[in-house]
Amino acid sequence: MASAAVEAGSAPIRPTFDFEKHARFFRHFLHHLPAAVEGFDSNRQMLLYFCLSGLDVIGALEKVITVEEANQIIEWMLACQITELPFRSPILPKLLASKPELNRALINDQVVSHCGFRPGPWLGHPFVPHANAPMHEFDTGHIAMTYSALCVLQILTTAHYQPQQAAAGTATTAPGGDVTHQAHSPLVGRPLRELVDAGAICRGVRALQLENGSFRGTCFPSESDMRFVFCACAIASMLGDWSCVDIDRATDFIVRSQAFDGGFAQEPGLEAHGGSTYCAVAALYLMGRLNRIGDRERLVQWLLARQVSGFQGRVNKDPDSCYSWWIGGALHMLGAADQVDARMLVSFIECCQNHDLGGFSKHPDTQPDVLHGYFSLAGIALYGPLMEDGGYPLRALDPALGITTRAAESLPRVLPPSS
Amino acid sequence: MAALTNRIIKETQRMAAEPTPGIVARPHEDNVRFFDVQLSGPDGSPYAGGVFHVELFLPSEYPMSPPKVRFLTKIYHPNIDRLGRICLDILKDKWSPALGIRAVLLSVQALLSAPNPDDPLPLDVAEHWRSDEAGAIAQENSPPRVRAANAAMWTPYHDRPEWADVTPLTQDDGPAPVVQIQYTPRFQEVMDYLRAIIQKGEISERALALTEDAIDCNSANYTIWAYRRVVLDGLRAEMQKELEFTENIITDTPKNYQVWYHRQWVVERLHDGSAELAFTQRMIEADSKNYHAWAHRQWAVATFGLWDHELVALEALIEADPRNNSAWNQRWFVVRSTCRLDEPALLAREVQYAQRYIQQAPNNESPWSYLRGLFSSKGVGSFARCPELEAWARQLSVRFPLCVHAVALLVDMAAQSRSPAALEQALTDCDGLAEGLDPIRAKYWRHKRMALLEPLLARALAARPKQDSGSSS
Repeated sequence: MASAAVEAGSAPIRPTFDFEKHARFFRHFLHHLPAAVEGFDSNRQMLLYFCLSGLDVIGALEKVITVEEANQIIEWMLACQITELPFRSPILPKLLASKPELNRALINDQVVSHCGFRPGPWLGHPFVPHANAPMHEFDTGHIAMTYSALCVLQILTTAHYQPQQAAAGTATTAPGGDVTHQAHSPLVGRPLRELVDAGAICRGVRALQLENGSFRGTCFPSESDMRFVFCACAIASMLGDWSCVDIDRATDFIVRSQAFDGGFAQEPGLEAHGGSTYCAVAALYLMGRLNRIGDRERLVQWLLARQVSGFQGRVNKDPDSCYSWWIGGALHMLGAADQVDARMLVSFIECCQNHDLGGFSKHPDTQPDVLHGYFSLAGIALYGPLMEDGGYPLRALDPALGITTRAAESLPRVLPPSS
Repeated sequence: MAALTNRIIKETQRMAAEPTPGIVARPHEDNVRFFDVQLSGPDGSPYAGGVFHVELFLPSEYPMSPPKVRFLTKIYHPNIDRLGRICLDILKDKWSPALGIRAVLLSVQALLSAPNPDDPLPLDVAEHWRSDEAGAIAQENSPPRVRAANAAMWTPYHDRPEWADVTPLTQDDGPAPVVQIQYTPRFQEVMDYLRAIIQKGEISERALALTEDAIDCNSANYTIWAYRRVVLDGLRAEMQKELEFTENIITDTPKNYQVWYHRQWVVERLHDGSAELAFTQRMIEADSKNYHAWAHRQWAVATFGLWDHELVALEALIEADPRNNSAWNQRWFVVRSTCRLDEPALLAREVQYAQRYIQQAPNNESPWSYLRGLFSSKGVGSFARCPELEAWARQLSVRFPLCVHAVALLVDMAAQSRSPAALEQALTDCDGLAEGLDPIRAKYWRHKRMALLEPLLARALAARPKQDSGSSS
């Protein structure tokens, strides 16, 4: 060991990663999440996205998830899709009967605006393996859950299962010797637009855009910012239908959110932030409007200036592994990834690697979690190949959609009509 | 005095020689009257499995007066307030010099097994807590354990007669659930009742209380907040009380979008943003870069026109920590919203303000960003508006030869001016940045150098035919 360290004086030590262990980490959390993450109960689709996209990046998806399981996951997700059917038990009339003076703006009774994916079945609707009606006015999709769900569905439906493997889970031999399909036909392999009710999703997203161009997460009064502008654009791009975004307004909101130092903020006036800068750049990229950025040179400078070893998310903050994706992905879309010190970044990510459990943490020496696990892995996938001695056996990522290029390949990738 | 100290020494020695299960008390090296105590939650109590940090101090009158004991770990207990102060008779009027440190700690531990809800801390304690919130926040160090203790202290809804008419509604995760969370029994039950009550569309005081419990379980659940707003509206609830509720919940979970949105909603209902500056100030004191706190402050300032003292308040924050980029951003926001940057005197004031902090700490990126922002497209648009800037930056780069930001600014000024001399110098500067000053961005500086060469080459090419004709004649 000592001699290796001495030799390293001339050739820097190559960061190493135990990807098999990381695959086990994601596989584990796919089923067992501790009570400590109860606060993520309203983000279960997102947790699922981290686990499955992580497995896809590692190239372990088909190895650790059988096709039967993949079908079951798709069914669980479809059960969370709200489609444009009337509320099963509307509560607004009841509320208004008891409290006629109630402010109607607080509760939305337009079914269309409820469409999209729920975070999970948390409001108690009975399980059905397909899209279904909202239970009542408070049962709504959330734009970030819809984005996460579409990513996961696209990953699973484009997974490469062997034909016999795919058939094994879906067909049985009937007494007469005929092969009959079970009640649930295979979902893996179907195009995304056939798996989901794309029209309902688009109309639902459209209903969330505000006058200022930003989007709310849900149809009742709630916060709106750059995160949801990105989600709307990613949904539009994945479904190949831009009718859900008023792109002029969205562009205007993004452009106005560029801060004086070049980075983008969650909304106009706020501080430039790595997460919102990713969302802004990816949304413009997906709309084919990167040329609308007022000061692109300062933006690239701001992004590159975030590298202190790993990337920090804001000026004068500590580096954090998740910005490997937010800052790193934005630089990829802007064509400036080659100006990053890739080895330094990957070495920082290595320091956040957890050797006992697998996964990665926010900072070196803290506990790993699936979010930082996934974004660290994404950073290695983005920047490993830019190291002098080459990358790692990971699948390439699409920096704008947040899924592997393999998963993204079959998507229509339509730009909005130019205006 | 000597005898009293002897007693302390004797007690300390005895505690070391005969350790008590679940209690570790160590005197401070520099002050033998001060003890760091680790109390284990008693088995079979709601606090089992938790370790609580307690401080114990022996006043000079000890043992004639009782020790002063305080929980440093935040704990939910009817007889312990949020500052960690304990309501226990032997620490007050029932104190006897015959008791000692060990007896006190055993009693405190016993209090964890048997809380006394009939003797809660007086109301003025809550008032005091509000006034010393920053101190209370600083002591919070173990939220999950606190939540566990809180959960166990609580009466299940199926044991509450006033909820007997409600049939809980369970979550149906289907035959093959994924990303399934191992909910605690309390979380599960609160949500079961919440699901049922939302489905009923009930607007009542008990529904309001239930949402509070549910928010305590998961304050990021936007639907619970949306339902709570409907209930508040239906009950015509007093918004001032709700404002206090939000302050408590934001203190517990300060980095959560939903709680801040709710605060904004309440303040809008009150049509009064006068408390928001002081409130965000408290939140910023606890975490000076909390994005939500700054966003809320910006919203309050703009919505209620609270501009008057904002620059002064920000100057104090920047003076306290010139590396607080959030405060610099807020200054930009205030200056851009209330002043005309194209007025030379104002531009000069802002330039000097940034320069002052740059000279204090030349590697602090925040004032540099601010300075450069003034001349960006979001500011006055051109470095030409401040002819002295170049000489100032050059001088600074000589005085602080490791200051990347000064050289980087000079390179960008050259790129903008396109004067051949400045560009020539910028090429050298790019080399210096790439090779020594800013190695992590070496590739960027080489790339920048290539970009700067273009105008120089174009100029050289344009000049060439003239030279050619001159040499041939």
